[in-house]
Amino acid sequence: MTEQELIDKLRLEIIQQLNLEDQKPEDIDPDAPLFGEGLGLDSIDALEIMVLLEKNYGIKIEDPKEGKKIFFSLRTLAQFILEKQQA
Amino acid sequence: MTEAKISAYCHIAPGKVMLNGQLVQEENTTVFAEFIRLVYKAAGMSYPKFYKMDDLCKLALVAAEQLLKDNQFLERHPKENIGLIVQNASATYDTDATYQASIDDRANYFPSPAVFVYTLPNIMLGEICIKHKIFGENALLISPAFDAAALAQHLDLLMESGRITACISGWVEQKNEHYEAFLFLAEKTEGNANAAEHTLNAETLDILFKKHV
Amino acid sequence: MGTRVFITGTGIFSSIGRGVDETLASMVNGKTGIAPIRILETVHRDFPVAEIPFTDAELLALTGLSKDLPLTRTTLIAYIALKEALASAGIQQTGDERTGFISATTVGGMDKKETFYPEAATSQEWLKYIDTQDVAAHTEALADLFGFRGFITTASTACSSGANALMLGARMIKQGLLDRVVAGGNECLTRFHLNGFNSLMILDKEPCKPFDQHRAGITLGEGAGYLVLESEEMVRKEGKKVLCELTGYGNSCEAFHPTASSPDGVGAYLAMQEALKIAGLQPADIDYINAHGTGTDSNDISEGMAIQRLFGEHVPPVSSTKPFTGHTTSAAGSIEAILCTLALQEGLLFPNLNWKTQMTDLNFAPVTKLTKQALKHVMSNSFGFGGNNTSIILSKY
Repeated sequence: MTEQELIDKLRLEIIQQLNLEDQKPEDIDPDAPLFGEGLGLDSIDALEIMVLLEKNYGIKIEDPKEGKKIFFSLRTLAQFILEKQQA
Repeated sequence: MTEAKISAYCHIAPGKVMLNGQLVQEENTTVFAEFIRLVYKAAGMSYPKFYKMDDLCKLALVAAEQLLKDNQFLERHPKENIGLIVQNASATYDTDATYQASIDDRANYFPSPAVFVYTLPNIMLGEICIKHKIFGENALLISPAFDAAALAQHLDLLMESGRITACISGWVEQKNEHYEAFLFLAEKTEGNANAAEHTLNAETLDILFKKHV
Repeated sequence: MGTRVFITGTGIFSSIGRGVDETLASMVNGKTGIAPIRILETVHRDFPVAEIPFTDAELLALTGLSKDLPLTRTTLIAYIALKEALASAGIQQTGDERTGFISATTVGGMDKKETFYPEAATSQEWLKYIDTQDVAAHTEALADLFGFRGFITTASTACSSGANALMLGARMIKQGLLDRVVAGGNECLTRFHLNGFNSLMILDKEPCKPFDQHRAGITLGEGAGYLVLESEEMVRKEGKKVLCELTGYGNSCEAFHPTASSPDGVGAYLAMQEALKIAGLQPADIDYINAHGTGTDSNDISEGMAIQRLFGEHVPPVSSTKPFTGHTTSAAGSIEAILCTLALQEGLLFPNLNWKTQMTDLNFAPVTKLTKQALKHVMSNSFGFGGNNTSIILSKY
C-alpha cells in the first residue's frame, strides 16, 4: 500500500472511529495537525486512535505520550504505520 | 422560599420538540438516532463533539440548546452562579451495555475509552457546561420518575443560600428507544424584567412537566 | 446563616480496615490496602488494587443477612459501614420524617451484572438480582434494611459523589428541612470500571504516587463511608457527643473536558473558594488539605495549581490518602471525610505514601511522614469526571 492509499484509508477509519460525522474525508488535510487546531481532536480521541491502530493494524502503543508525537498529522500517522509494517 | 421564575421550558419526546408549551418541531421519525440529528440540525447547531456523545448527552445538549439559543440567559448571570441540577432514572444504562459489549469478547477485545467516558450520568451536565462555559454547581440525582417537589426543594436550597442566581434544571431520561427531556431555565427575580410568569415551585413544575404533547 | 451541622457518627469499611478503629490503626502504622488483585475475577492482573479482603460470601456472613436477599457486593460493604455509623451516633430510630438518607454510588449492581452477562437473559439466578441494576436500588435496599422512611435520594456524580452526598445533607439541615442526615458513598470493584480506567490509560502498574513528578496514574479501590450529620438542636436535645463540625462545602463545574482537568484548576479553585466562603474562613485558617490526589498527570497538576493559587503564601500541609485506600471513586468523598475526622480528633497529618520526587511545576511537596499536629480546620477535595468538583471543610468542635 502506498502512503497516499493509506492516508485515504485512514481518513475513512478515523471519521468512523471518532464519530466525526459531519466531516468529509476529502476535507481532512493530511498535513494539518490532528490535535489542537486542524481536526481539533482531544486526549480521548488520541486513545481511540490507539485502539484503531491495534484493531486494524495490529500495532500496540503502550504509552499515550508516545502517541501524541506519532499522531501529529494524518501523514505522520500513515508513515508510522508503514514503518511498523515494513519492520 | 426564594422568589424565582421559570423563564423558559422545553420538552423533547419521541418525534417532538416543544418550547414554552408550543410545538416547534415535529418529525416523522421517532427513532432516536435519526430524530436527535434532525433536532440538532434544525437548531442550527455546529458542534462536532455532539457526534461523539452518547444518546443521553446528545439529548441533554440539544434540549439545553432549545432553551439557550434565542435569549440572553447566559449573559444575565455570572457563569459561576448558574447551576445545573438534573434528575434521571436510568443513569447511562444503554452506554453501560455498549461498553460491556466492547469488553466481553475476549477474541475481539477492544475496550473503547470514548464509550467508557459516557458511562457516568453526570457527564451530560459536564457537556452542557463545557459548551456554554458554565462553572456553577452541578448535581445529578437519581429518581424513578420526575419528582417536582424534590427538585423545587433542591433549587430553593441553592437559590436561598445565594450559591446560584439561576439554573438549567429538569429531567433527562433515555433508555433504549424511550427518551424524554423536560428542561427549564429558572432565575431569581428581584426586579428581573426578563422573567416570565411561572413561579418556581413544585406545583408549577408538575403542571409544566405534564404539558408535553 | 442557618443551623450548625455536626458529625455525630461515622462508619467505614475499606481495604485498610473494617471500622474506624482498624482504619486509624492502618493510617498510623502506614499500612496500605493496595495489593495484587485477589478477589475480583479478572484476567487483568497487571494492576494493583485496594480490595476489601473478603469474598462476597464472607461479607454476607459478616452482615448476618439472609442469603436469599439480592445483595450486591456494593450493598454488603455499605451495610457494614452504615451499621457502624448508626451505632457510633447512638441512633436507633431512623424512620421519622426529619431523618434523611443520601447515598452515592456509580457502579451499583454492576458486579452482579457482569457475573451473569451475557447469559443474563436466560439465567434464572440473575432474576433474583435484576432490580439491583439500578443505581437508586442500592439506596432503596439500604433504606429498607435500616428503616429510613423520610427523605431518601441517590447522588451520582462520579468521584465527587460521596462528598456531594455530604454537601446536600448539610444544606438540608442548615436550611431546617431535616434534623439529621446519614450520608455517604459506596462502591465495589468491578471488571467494568477496571477495564474502563485502563482504556483511558490512567491506571498505574505500581501503587499510585500522588503529587510525584513520576506519577503514572490511579490505583482503584473499593469501600464505603457513611457519616451521621445532625443539627445543633438535635445534638443539644439528645446530649450527643460531637466528632467535628461540617463547616464548609462548595461545588463547581470545571467546564473543560469530560475526563481531564484543566491545567490551571479553575474548577478546583472555585470549589475550594466556595467552601471557605461558606465556612467564613480565610485560606490561612486551613491546617490540612486531604487532596483528591489521584496520581494522574492531569488531576495532580490541576489540583496543585489551584491550591497554590488559592493559598498563595499559606499552602497548608497537603496529602493524598489514596496510596492507603486506593481511589474508592463514589465512596472517596465520604471515606476521606472520615479520615479527616480522625485527623482532627487525633491531631495527626496523614502521609502521602509512595512520594519520592518533587513535581517541577509545583512549589509545595506533600506531607510524607505521619506528623502530630493540632488541627482546627481541614479541607477535603473530591473531583469527579464531568468536571464535578467538590470541596468540604471539617472543623474541630
